[in-house]
Amino acid sequence: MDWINENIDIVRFITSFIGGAFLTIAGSITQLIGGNVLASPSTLGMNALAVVFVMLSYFIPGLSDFLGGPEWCSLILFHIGMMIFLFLLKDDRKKIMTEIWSGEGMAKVLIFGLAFNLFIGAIFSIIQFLFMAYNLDFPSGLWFGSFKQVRMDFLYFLIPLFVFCIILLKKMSLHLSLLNFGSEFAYGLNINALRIQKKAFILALYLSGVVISFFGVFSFLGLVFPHLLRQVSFFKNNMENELLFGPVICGLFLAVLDQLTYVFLIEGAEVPVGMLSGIIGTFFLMAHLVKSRGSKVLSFAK
Amino acid sequence: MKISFKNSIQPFLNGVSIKGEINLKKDYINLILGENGIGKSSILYFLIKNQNKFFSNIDISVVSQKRLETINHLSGNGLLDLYRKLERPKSLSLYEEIKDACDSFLHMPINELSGGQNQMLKILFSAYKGGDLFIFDEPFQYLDQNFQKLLRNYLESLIKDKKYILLVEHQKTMVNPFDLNIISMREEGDKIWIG
Repeated sequence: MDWINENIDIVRFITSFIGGAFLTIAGSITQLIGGNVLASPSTLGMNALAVVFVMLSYFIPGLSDFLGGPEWCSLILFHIGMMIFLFLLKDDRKKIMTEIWSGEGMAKVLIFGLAFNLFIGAIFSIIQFLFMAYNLDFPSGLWFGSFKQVRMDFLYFLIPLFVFCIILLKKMSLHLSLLNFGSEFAYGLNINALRIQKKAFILALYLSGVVISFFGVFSFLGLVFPHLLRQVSFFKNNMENELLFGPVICGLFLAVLDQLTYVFLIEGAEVPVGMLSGIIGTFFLMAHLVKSRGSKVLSFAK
Repeated sequence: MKISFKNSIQPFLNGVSIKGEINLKKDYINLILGENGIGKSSILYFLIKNQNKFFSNIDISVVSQKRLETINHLSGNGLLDLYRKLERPKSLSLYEEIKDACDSFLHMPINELSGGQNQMLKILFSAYKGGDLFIFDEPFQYLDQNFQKLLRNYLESLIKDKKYILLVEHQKTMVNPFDLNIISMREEGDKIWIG
């Protein structure tokens, strides 16, 4: 018990658990509604969009102090950005969404998302270069997600949001599971596929924004976690299990991984869990692709 | 049963408007005929998407042209179980016979099914779900002779049960043995006429 008290940071454990759960939810539902196993918050450009607001919060002088710290500042900016995004799309939303969820549309969005990620990455590098050129301190922790800076006040926002997500997913899980067979099939069952796709898309975008605002970027976890879950029969034959229990398992995995980085320091320095999870995540994805010879992934990526 | 179109189908036919009406008859296979690319499948999809508007109080069952695919490893049995959670299936008279014919692949992941097996699973699902109006888009595609025969028996049983059938099929010989109510589609200038 003493060892636990000394070595485990409960607040950090809960926040990393919720962070992992959010990434899994975002990954599962983007793959599900896109009917594409390569879709994820990172490949669709959701992460890059959220990073824009994180950069603004760090680089607009005085803004983050005014809004209660860089995390809350990023989150507020992200909310404003999302509202503007939804407002701008108001008239064309239905048309755009219909195009996105068509088979070809999703492939275009994936390519656009990847290009957008590269674009934001390039801007980020330029800013980093300018900081170095002027001998300024650059917040390098931004690029790799970490739970080092967690505070109790994060939980007041994250726990109710987590409960809300689980309730919402419980409510939507059956329709989402039937949407797994394609939107045409769902419409045949008198399920309004477009409405569910829109709701789920906004939820995935929102959860990605929340994770990145608070903790930074966890590349490819949203893509890899659902793939890992589908290796186990409890998840691979049952989309409802993936949606409802998958986030709990992956949340625990990320929380444990984060505690390991917290306890086992390297030369007194903590490895950002986002860096570690990026390595593990991409390794598992490559191994999975080799194992399945990429056939299923490539057939969806066409 | 009549379905009227009032210029409401433009988004699905590249901006071309559609006029006319479909008069669906029981005891017949209502077959939509028209040139390739005229929009036969688009009309079916439009009707399916807007079923509450066109078919209030009529339960529809669909066999679409698109292959069933999932992002996980769900099997045909899993699909039937899942539907049971949504609604109580009405399982038509020929359901058991079709299920027996599909028995060898119902446990297999849907993504691993061949074209014919995937097509037969959609037909099985339609018989499992049941309904009043049955919409088929190219139902004979990929089917071997045994499955084709089974599908013809299924269509026959639907007619016997006084169900409406609306069907698009390019291989007209497949449905020649049935009494057909032909619904033709033709292009005239910037309009498509149906009826």
